[in-house]
Amino acid sequence: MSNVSSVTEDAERHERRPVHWVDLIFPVLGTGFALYYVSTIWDLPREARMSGILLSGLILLFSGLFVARFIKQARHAGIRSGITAILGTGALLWRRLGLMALIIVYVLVSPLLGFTLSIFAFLLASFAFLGERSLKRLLLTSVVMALVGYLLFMVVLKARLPEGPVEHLFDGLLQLLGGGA
Amino acid sequence: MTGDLLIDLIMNASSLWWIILLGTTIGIVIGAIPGFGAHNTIIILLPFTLAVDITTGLTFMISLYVASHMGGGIPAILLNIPGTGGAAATTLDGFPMAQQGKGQQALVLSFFASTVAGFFTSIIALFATPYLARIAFYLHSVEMVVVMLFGITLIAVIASKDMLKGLLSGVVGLLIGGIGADLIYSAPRATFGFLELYDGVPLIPVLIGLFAISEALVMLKDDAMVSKEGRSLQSTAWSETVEGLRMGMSRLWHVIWTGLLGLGIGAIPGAGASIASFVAYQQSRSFSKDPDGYGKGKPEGVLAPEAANNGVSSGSLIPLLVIGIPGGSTAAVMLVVLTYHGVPLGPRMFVEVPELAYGVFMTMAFAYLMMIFTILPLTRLLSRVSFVPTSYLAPTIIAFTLIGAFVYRGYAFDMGLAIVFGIVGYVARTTGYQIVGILIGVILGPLLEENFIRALRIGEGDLGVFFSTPVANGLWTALVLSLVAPYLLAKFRQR
Repeated sequence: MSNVSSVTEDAERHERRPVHWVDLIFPVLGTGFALYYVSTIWDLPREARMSGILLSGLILLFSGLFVARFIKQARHAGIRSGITAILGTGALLWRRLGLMALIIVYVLVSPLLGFTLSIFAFLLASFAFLGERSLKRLLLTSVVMALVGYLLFMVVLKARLPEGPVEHLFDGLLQLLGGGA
Repeated sequence: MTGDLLIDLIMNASSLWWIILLGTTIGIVIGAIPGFGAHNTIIILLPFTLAVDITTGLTFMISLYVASHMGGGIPAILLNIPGTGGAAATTLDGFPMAQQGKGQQALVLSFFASTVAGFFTSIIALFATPYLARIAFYLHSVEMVVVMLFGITLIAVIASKDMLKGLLSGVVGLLIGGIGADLIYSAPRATFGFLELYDGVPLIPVLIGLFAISEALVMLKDDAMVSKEGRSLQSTAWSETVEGLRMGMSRLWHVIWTGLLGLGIGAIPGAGASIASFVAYQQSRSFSKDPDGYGKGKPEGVLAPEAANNGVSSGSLIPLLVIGIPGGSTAAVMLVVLTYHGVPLGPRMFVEVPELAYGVFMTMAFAYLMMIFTILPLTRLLSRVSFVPTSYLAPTIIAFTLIGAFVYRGYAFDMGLAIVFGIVGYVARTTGYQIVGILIGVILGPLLEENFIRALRIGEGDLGVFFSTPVANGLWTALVLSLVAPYLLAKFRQR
């Protein structure tokens, strides 16, 4: 499979396949970002803004070419939304959105709850949400993972991670035993 | 390279045998998980590599990197699912061998080719890289700007299925790399009002988001990464291992030349193991007396791509060490870690920290040597990792990688940034844009700007300075040719 043949095959496939609106997300976001970038450097002297303007110009050029190709293909083969291709449908859609929501909650609460407790809660909730029904397995896996993470990152590597009640409890216990995290 | 340095390198590498053992073991296991490459594992273990000294961290990353290339062949052979892109060509003859009940033989052939080619090319790279490093003395600000644009272009042309999408990914990455205070007046640019972005976009949250989080979201589409049917294909007889070794030994020259092909292709930024393994497979078939036997379970069809994709391991680190431009995603992650530890890249690395620059290849050679003795006997057990359900894998990846994002600067903001880039990476992956291009763009963005401003000052503000030297003009020509050649060749072949 050479690159050359893939160029030809890609070109042929592009002509035949209906295009998806979602393919425009990246060029549109890229163009928006390029324009925003230029707006923040517009008042700077020429020397300081030159590279930003050239790169933004390239983004606009490539996005423009992409849109032109998109329109040409759409005329030949039609156009679809394509949203299901990137997000999935039914259960998969909910699995992804649900996991994303759990990730956001995990990031928000970890500075408050501390690393160990938040990672335990996140794993427990995620495993359960993604289909694990055995309470024993859920608890065991989440506890083991959180403890391994605590021992590896906080005790062994002494990484700077958010501390909460569990870390304070473990610190106290380790100090009682003559150690200390 | 002096004899004393060579002895030091051997002593250093052998003293870190336990790190190499740990790295290779983890690498093999991770390589066996489809779609989850070495770069993701290094990202997950980033807190470890950042916390230990650079020699230990680099040894660990190198060991993990080379082993993951080898591990990628396991599901490719047993289940027709390549663990890494570089193992995609291995499926062509590896899987038919497994279907014929020669799965273990094929695995041994794959391990044999990987270790022999990997060891051989590491040794060549160890001695050749210093000479290649001299190239960097001819690359000044003007040429470096063109080299970086050329690197991004090559990644778009070779590694991407759609050139336009590849180019767009790379240029957007370059502009993201330009976020933060400007180099002359310290004026904030595109920071969205966040103070945390004044120093630029931190690389670790970017790569965690682009690779690990987006991968975790993508993998949810399947309950497990591997279907149940593949489980019954594993063989357990030791005689199969011996037979596989005998077949490999009798084709030693084949392994060496395809490995060298991989080394050469790997040295081109953006080419990578996927391209190298297919090129090696194609060349192996072209020179074979029995080309029709390929695709039906021919041992050379397993040896060639596996030797090539392990040759790439050494090759793709050459541009990183010689000119500071990563040749692929794993090299890009390594660049982040090296930069974090303040290691100078390019020719300075060979002068200031030669033990690190040369040590990379010595570690590789040691890792391959160790794997011959450690991995071969474990053939039958390793592939079971591919069966971990994604409902466990995805949250675990997310939970532990987000720690890496936090540890880097100690800002909760960086965890949020990783999520944002996770979404960007997910959209990019699912719509055919290239996350490697974005990441390499983000890495090269500040370097490009620095060299661009310096070159402009040399040229007193005249953009013509970028066309003022023969080397730069040669590079521009190569850049344009790399964009145009695929289309011209495709049209020529159509006739």
